Amino acid sequence: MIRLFFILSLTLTWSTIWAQQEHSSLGVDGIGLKAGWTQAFIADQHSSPLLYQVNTMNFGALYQQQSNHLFEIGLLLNIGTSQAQNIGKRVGTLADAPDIYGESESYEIEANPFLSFLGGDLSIKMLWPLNDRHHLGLSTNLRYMKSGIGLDDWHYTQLDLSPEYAFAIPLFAGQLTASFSLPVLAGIVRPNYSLDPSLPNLTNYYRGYLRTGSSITSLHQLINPRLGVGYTWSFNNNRDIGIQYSAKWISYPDPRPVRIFEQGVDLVYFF
Amino acid sequence: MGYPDILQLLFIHLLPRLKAGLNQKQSIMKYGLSLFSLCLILLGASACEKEIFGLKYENDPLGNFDALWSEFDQLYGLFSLKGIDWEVQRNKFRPRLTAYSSNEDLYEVIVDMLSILDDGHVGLIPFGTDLPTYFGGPRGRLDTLQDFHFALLKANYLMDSHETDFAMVYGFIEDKIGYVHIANFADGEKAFDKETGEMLNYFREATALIIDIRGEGGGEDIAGKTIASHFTDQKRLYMTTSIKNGPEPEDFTQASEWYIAPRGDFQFLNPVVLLTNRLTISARESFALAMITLPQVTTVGDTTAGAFSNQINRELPNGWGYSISIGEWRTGEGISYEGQGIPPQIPVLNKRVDLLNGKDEVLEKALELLR
Repeated sequence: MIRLFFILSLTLTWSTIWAQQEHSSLGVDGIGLKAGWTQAFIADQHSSPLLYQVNTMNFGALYQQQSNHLFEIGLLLNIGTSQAQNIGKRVGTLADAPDIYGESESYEIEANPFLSFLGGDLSIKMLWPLNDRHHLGLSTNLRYMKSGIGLDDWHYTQLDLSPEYAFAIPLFAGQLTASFSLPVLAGIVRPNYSLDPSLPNLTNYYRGYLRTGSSITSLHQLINPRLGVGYTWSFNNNRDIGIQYSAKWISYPDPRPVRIFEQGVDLVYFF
Repeated sequence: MGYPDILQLLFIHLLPRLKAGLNQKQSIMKYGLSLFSLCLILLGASACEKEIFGLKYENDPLGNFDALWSEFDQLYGLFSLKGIDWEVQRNKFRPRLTAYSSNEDLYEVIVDMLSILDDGHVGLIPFGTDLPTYFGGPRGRLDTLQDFHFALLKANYLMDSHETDFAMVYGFIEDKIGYVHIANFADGEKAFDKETGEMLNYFREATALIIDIRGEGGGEDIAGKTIASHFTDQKRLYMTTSIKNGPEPEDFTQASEWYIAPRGDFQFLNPVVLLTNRLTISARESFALAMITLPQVTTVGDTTAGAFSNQINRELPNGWGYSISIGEWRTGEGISYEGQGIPPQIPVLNKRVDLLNGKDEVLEKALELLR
């Protein structure tokens, strides 16, 4: 984490020494592949009194088209560990009632953080330039997270629409960018109040939650600021390499409060 | 610094700076520093995470007790049905703990309090200790399962034996009288349509069938609904479920209605005897609720466990796990057997010594009825 912020501070401090140019473009034309790391802290009072820490590897791809506006579509997948802070892996034993011979079978119950977190983030954005450096537009994001929290399945799904502001400026051989967005309209799927749909025609728990735990919401309930900072180097052979830092905060109260802080660093290679 | 302060920084400090015109180098530098400050604040989350993330409970004996009591207060769906005042239990049991109580003390107090509920779906797993797992209801009170042993039954009674993929063992017990033991209900419609279809196809020529759901473990209610639908010639309401949808005692969903309706290539409408015992619990019991609506079904054996509601898993600040029943499961007529169990139409209790000698009185009574 300290190293991450060292990189971030270094990137931002460069703002005092960059060589200014007149024009900047926010993205590049082409397809990029992404890989990186994300750390998250999840406090979902509906599922657990504990704070969970998540560490994942990220893999993804994005497509950018830069004309008089920027169009970007990106997909990022996360896979990694999730565990209650200061507790980690837990093992307990359940035993059947002894049979008529007094023999009993027992089973180990394990809460294992290994590969216990899966996530995906699909985003589409369009940004129009306000002037040489400032851009404004809209983005839509579909975020899905699945893990084991509270000794049971846990998941969070959010589809949202956000105004997005972005800033880009040439710096040395590349370009520094920053962006900020805040969802103003979102659909969220969470477990219902009793954490079990208990429906007569239930064939799938997620579909059950779609029916019993979905809601449309806005800023009065969902606070989800998202910040991104990145630097992209351009090479002579029309290849670009970028590093992107992102941070997000989620706070949503229904059916009981969940708060999530996510941050991550990804490397992007543009073809 | 709390979460509202972060927003204040964002909206009052950072955004106006952007509006002020960031094309000037000085402003850009300040913007960068503001951004950096925000990130440092977020980094500082680890220092005051309890406040930022809204964590409520300390990991000490009282914090753990309060977390458990509060979750039951908000989520347990059977206080009203069982006539239990949960606030009274808190006042009774919490004073037995202090901030310095041991794990053993905490376990004892929690188990004593949960035992008041006498609920087969309530349990406690004290992870990371040598303390035993607690089960409520009949399961927690039985030292041994003395009235049923499937291996002995299979060896002494079945003329032949076949198994479906995972849930059923079946065979003829006499000419024209079939027997099936359903070992688990842990899957959905598709799986149990296949299993039940396969089993009933074998018994196409049978004049009667014994369905044995004695033994341990629950599963999914929809499994029982699917199996029972292969035994009905018409749509029948057999169960309603209503679950908690808010923290107040009266916060329940509208009742969902559960029906069985004909499924499969053909339905088995000949006489059926359903065998139950005290460990027939949860999804096995809701299957029994469906079967007792059928005119061709007679129940024999012991009263079921009386734990119908779905359960959810929870955890305490110390990492221990526990489970909670979340609602009211009733018959189509509105009767609740929660905490009591479904009484058999013909009660027969097995004796351990008889079982060891190869005799299952419950099964023999069923045969007597079907001959």
